[in-house]
Amino acid sequence: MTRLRIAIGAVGLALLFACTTPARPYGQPEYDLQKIAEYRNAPTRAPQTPNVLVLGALDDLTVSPVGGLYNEESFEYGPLLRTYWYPNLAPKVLDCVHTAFNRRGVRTFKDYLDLGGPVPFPQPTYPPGLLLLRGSIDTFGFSRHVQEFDVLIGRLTLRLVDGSSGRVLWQGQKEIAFRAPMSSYDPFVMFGDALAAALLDDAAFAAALAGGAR
Amino acid sequence: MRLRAAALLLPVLALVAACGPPPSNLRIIPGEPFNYRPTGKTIVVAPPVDLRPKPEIEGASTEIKHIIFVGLGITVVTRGSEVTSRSDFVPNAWQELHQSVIDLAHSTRLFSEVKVQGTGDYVLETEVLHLLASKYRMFMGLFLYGGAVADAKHFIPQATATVRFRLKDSRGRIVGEKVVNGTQNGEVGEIMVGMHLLPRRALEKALRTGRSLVASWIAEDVYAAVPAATHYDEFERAHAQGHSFLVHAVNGDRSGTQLARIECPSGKILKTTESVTLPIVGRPGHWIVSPFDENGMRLPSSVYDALTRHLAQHFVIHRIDQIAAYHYFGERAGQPVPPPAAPPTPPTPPAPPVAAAPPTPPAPPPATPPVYDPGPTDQLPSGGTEQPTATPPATPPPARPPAAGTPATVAPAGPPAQLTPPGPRLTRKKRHVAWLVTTIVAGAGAIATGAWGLADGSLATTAAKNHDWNQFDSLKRQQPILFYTCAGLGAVTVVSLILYLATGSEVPVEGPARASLAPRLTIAPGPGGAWGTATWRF
Repeated sequence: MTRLRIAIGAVGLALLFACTTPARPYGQPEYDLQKIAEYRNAPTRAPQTPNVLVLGALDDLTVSPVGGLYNEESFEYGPLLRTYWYPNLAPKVLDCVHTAFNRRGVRTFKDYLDLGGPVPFPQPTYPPGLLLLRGSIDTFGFSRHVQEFDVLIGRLTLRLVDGSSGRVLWQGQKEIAFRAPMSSYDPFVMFGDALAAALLDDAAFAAALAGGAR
Repeated sequence: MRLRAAALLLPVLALVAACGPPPSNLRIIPGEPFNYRPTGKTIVVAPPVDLRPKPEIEGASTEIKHIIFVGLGITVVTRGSEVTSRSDFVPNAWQELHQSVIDLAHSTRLFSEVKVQGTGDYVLETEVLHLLASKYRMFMGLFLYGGAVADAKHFIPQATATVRFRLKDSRGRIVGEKVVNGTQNGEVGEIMVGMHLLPRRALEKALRTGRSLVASWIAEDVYAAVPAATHYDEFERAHAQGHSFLVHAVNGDRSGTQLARIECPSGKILKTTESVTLPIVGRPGHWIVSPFDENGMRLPSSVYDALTRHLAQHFVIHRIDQIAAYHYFGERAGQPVPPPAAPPTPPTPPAPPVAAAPPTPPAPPPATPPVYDPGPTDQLPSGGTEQPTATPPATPPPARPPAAGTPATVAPAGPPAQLTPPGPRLTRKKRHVAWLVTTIVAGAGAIATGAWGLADGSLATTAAKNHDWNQFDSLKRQQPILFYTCAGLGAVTVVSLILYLATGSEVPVEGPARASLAPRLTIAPGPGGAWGTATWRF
């Protein structure tokens, strides 16, 4: 009987160490810390284009809370210490994407009141050559770790629309995931930069941006 | 006698069983109806489509992470999110939601008739993508043959309601499609009482935003057919706003919007308000000529175009980073100002997003087109943060000083608040521990003095029985001292316990939110970012 208990205890201890992956709050993306790469500022350059990029509606499909503070190394019965929420996540993300696109040489404007109409920029109210980037934030997670690093994960579905006709020029999914040292620098700025770099690295997106509605 | 006791006990047990939280309804009152001129159009409101993922329909609970057999006992650890299920809503919740959307369409006052089925000028479709409240919970219990020790950690529940609205015309053409999102944080009390009411509150936010969205679509669709030159006058007459316009600035944490209604052309501020349901347009702290009204209804783009052309004669407005909104920099000096010789030519090759002239000549005198600043004001310095963009264009025209009694904030605003979410600071844990120690020490003292007092009383009774009056008097003299000591220590225990609970180590302490968080333990995003926390420990 004692041996049985020892065996069961050993199995229990094995389970204890096997279950190290923390369960995130519902709706937050799961991730493996070992597989998350460090943030790197990629020197992507924008294609030369006469078109103007406009950031339109970004539908927020995330579930609150979108963030958490974790202690992965030492915890009583769960690494989660706090949960975070963020009102109006999409404008915050778009502000940073806007900054990143402009920094990389793409002339970019914002249209946060994009009503999702089929022809976003009808003429003659707007000039031709406006390309609208629309989409949705499917999942988003901003995890802070007391070991002084942040992990940002976002999965977005995006499409590039010709403003004058509403024709979809490009569409695709982008997943951004990186870890960065915790500092006074805004991780959202890094996220926006990573997203802009990922889009410009996409040859199809760059071609659509350069070519426009032609 | 036993039968009578059982007869009394059964209703009590039934009452206790029935005292659980009643399921939530989804009947949302849309709020004050809008005051728009009816369009004479009819709308069909289709039943909402349920596209929620399975865990939100059937619910979810915590997962058992470990069960460890240790000697004579078992250790159980569970953690995970508890998610509301269909049992948290009344059985006809979906019909109620449909009725709420119908009421929403009614309250816009834009339609002559709102139908449930049949045909109409428009069809409003809704899809519910998320409707839930969730609460993260952790539990650890050690069960021995002789007893049990358990500890639990609960997080404040949070709710999300995400609804996709789609408006089609009678030919099936999509007028607009957009997702609105409502989030709601729970209170401390809802950890234990239940979180079934939270999704309703989140849904209320989402539906009210959806109402403004529907009104915006209708306005855009109706005005698209009207000649652009008459739009501004038409709109003004329809909404009886007089010669005034709205400017707004987003709060530092993007949780709401400050509004100011400005008289034209005097520049006098007529009214200032705040709102948390209006669209978030612009960076925090930037004043923008609002492309929407107080109800959140977006002005038709041609109307906004005409409005800004009119305003450019009297006020300094620039298109900086928003394609469909102008930044507001106050009045022009020494108005009326003759129109500039020519607006700056946009650089080539990028095509300037200057609003083109309307096809017909405008009825009012030739208006100055809004000044388009093609300079680098919308571009950040390489490697910079968001702050530099808060500065106005290079040489903004001097604005007249604001009228007496007007807030000084209606001017090019200063740099926006620091947007970095606060880092974790756990220094409060020390205070938390100090209150715990105080509670334990004072509680132990109170119990000890209380026990001493009781023992004294017992001894005094015994002494009285033995007619040992000397000892009786001695013991009785100690009684008041013990009583007041016990009461004092008890009060200290209660106060320190409250403070221990209120300053739990998991409660946020960052920045200015600290003062507002302490008494309520709710989320109060400060200007340092909208990051709140939601934990509470028992």
